[in-house]
Parts: sequence; structure tokens; C-alpha cells
Amino acid sequence: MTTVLAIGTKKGLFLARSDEGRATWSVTGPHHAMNDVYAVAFDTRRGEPRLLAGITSEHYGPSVAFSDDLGATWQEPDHAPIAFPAGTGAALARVWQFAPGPASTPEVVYAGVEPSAVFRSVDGGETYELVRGLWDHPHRPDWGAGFGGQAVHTILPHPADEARMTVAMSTGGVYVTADGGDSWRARNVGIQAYRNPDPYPEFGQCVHKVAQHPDRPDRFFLQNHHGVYRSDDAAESWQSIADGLPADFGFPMVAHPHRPDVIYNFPLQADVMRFAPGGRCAVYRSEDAGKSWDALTDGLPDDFWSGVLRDAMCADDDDPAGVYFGTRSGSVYASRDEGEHWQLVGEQLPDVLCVRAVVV
Amino acid sequence: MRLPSALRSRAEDCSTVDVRVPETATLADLLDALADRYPALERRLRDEQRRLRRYVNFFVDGEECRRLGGAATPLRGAAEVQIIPSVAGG
Repeated sequence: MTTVLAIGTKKGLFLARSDEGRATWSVTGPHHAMNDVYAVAFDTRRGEPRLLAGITSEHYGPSVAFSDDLGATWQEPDHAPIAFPAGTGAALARVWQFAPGPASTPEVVYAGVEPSAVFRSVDGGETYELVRGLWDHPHRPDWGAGFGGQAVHTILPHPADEARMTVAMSTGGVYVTADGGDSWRARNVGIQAYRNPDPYPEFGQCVHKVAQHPDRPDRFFLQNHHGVYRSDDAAESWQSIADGLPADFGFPMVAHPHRPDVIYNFPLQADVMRFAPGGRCAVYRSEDAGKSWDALTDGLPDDFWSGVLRDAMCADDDDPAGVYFGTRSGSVYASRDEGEHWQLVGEQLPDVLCVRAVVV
Repeated sequence: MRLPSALRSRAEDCSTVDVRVPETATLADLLDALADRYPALERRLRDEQRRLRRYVNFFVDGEECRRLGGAATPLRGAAEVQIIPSVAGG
């Protein structure tokens, strides 16, 4: 088996490949050099996995490229694959997220973008149309922008019900649809809004990432801009699971591919101190759905004054699962034993924005 | 229209592109015509609302269009439009 790790960075896409049980890695790239790559995804519903990349040139704007041979060759439509309709007055800034739809809709791919919107593709991710229900939501004029921009950065299609989907944005919070995107409801009860006069508003929370396990689709795990939460009722309400973590700030939240109670997180000290606590690089894992947490540090560095962004951590679907993360200082680490031990995949890359892995 | 090297692959590897437009045409009209012929090029010069991309400079007969009329800058005779990316980024 071969494992491919796509590493989206500030200046292009790098591809790490392991043909030896994830023991050694070789890195190629940059692909799409000098484009920032905020979003990558492997769509494994196809015969050959399709690699999707959201690429943005500072000069020439955003685009979507895809590869059906794991990055050996790339295709890019002549016409803009994602474009806001004329009447909106909006222009795509960048793609923050790709999410293949459920298995029952093998050609459907969703894209979360900046400014905050969701687009739907029905041709495997080559062309997209705006999901008007969310764009026309009456809350939209009051959605804000986090430091990185105003974007839908998380899309979680329900694995068995194509009408249901959960999205998250910074800032705005969590929204759900049960009718295929025609209507959306804010679902932020219990999530605290940091630096807001009303600590528990209906919407406006700066949610950083949400994770879901396909075997438990009504349970979610959420990293907020201060606050770590779980919902057991399809996002109707949220409870804190931050006890046991050294800090409740951070960006990523990753679900284990096979064990629904296992999640991974990378705490940072605070909003105003965005370093790993104590300068010690540590992934935190819970094996009981957030009731308790363990630090995983074997193979990770001390004197670590960097961070991990919201999509810069992922897991593959191998068994035992591989877990990966990339840092803002351009190092990428992998664990082939679910986080017990870590090894360096690559270093001195540009800032890592996202990682995704596939086993083929 | 003269193209920087980074964009030539979007126009059949040409460094210059001749575009015929009416005598009263503006820079926007030129880009509209370009959109029909080379959509992959045009979308890198303007966003989907047909606004000029911020970090792309359009020199019309030697003058950057934003010091003239922007996208409404008239093209006179056999105008030369040179596309030069601005100095930006890190």
C-alpha cells in the first residue's frame, strides 16, 4: 500500500509519499508554486482518487485544480470553477474547504469559501454553483471576519442523508441544513463567543474547526476561539470538553477514522499567546470523547515556538490510523500508530496551511 | 496586449495577443473580448464581477490604467496594453 500526504502551504502544494508502511517518506513539490493552498481533499469515491486543491495566486486570484493521478498531472477549467453570480456583487477570495458528499451522491463535492459561502459541484469538483440558501440567510450581513478572513472552513455532509449538512465559519458559528441547503439554522447553543458583550449569542461565534465521525453522525467535536466542545444531539447544544487540556485555544480538531470516541487536538496557550503551552510540541488525544486527554509527544520537539492551523492536522483511514500535522514553521510530522510515536516527514517548507492523507 | 511570462500558457504560449475592438472601445471592452477568446487568461486579470484584480497592473500606452480611467480607459488607435504584475507578496 502507498500513502500519499498532500501538504498545502503558503507557497504551493507538496506531496509526501510512503510506500513502506509509512516508515519513510519522500516529498515532491512545489506543485502550483507561489499559490497558497488553503484546501486539499482526496475524493476516494472514484476508481482513482481525485485530488482537489484550492489554489490562490496573490496576483491572479483563486482557482481549483484537480488531479486524477495523485498529483502527476493537473487539470484546471478555463472558466472560473467557482464564481459568485453577477447579482451578488461578491468575488471569490479563496477556497478554504473541500468536502466530498455522501457515498449516495458520488459526483457531489462541496466547497467552503471566502467570503462565507458554500458551493456545490455535481461533476466531481470541476465546476460549482452557489448554495443560495446559505448566501441569502438573514444572518449573513452580521457575520464577521476572523483574522484570517471571513470563510466557511468546515463542511460536514451527513454520511447517510444527503439532505443534511453541517457547516462552520469564522466568524458566524455553526449552521445546519436538513433540506439540501435550501434553509439553514444557527446551532451554537452553549458555545461561548469570546470578546462579545453577549457571551452566548445565537450566532457570531468564532468556531475554528468541527469534526464528526461517520459512525456517529449526530455527535460533533468543536474547537472554538477559546473553548472545546462536544454535541451529542446533532449540534442542537454543546458542552465543554476542555477539562484535561492545557489550554482551550487552538485550531484543529480531528476524528479518528475508525474509533468514534477518539479525537485529536493541538492546544495553543491563548488567543494572545499562540504558542504550544510551555513551548512543547504536543498533540492531545482523547479516547473517551473528550472526558479526558493525553499528551502525545514522543518524537516531537521541545523549544517549539510555532503553531498548527485549523486544517493542518488530519488522519488517514489505515489501521492502525496514521495521524499527521504541519506547522506554521514548515515542519510536517506523521504518526503511524495513532499518535504514540511521531516522525518528521519534511521540514523547512513554507507555512503549512492544510494536510490530507489517502491510502491507495 | 503584452503578457507576462506567468500568463502566457493561458494564451497558447503567446507573449502578445492581438485583439480587435471597435474604435470607441475601452480597456473593459478589450477584456470582454479577451474573455471570449481566452477565458483562462481573462479570469486572472479580473474577478467574476469584472473588477480589475488589485495586484495586476494594466499599462495603456505606457500609463497604468488606474491613473487614467481604470477599466473605462479608452483605447486609442492601435493601443498597446501591457500586463505587469505588481510588486507584492512575501
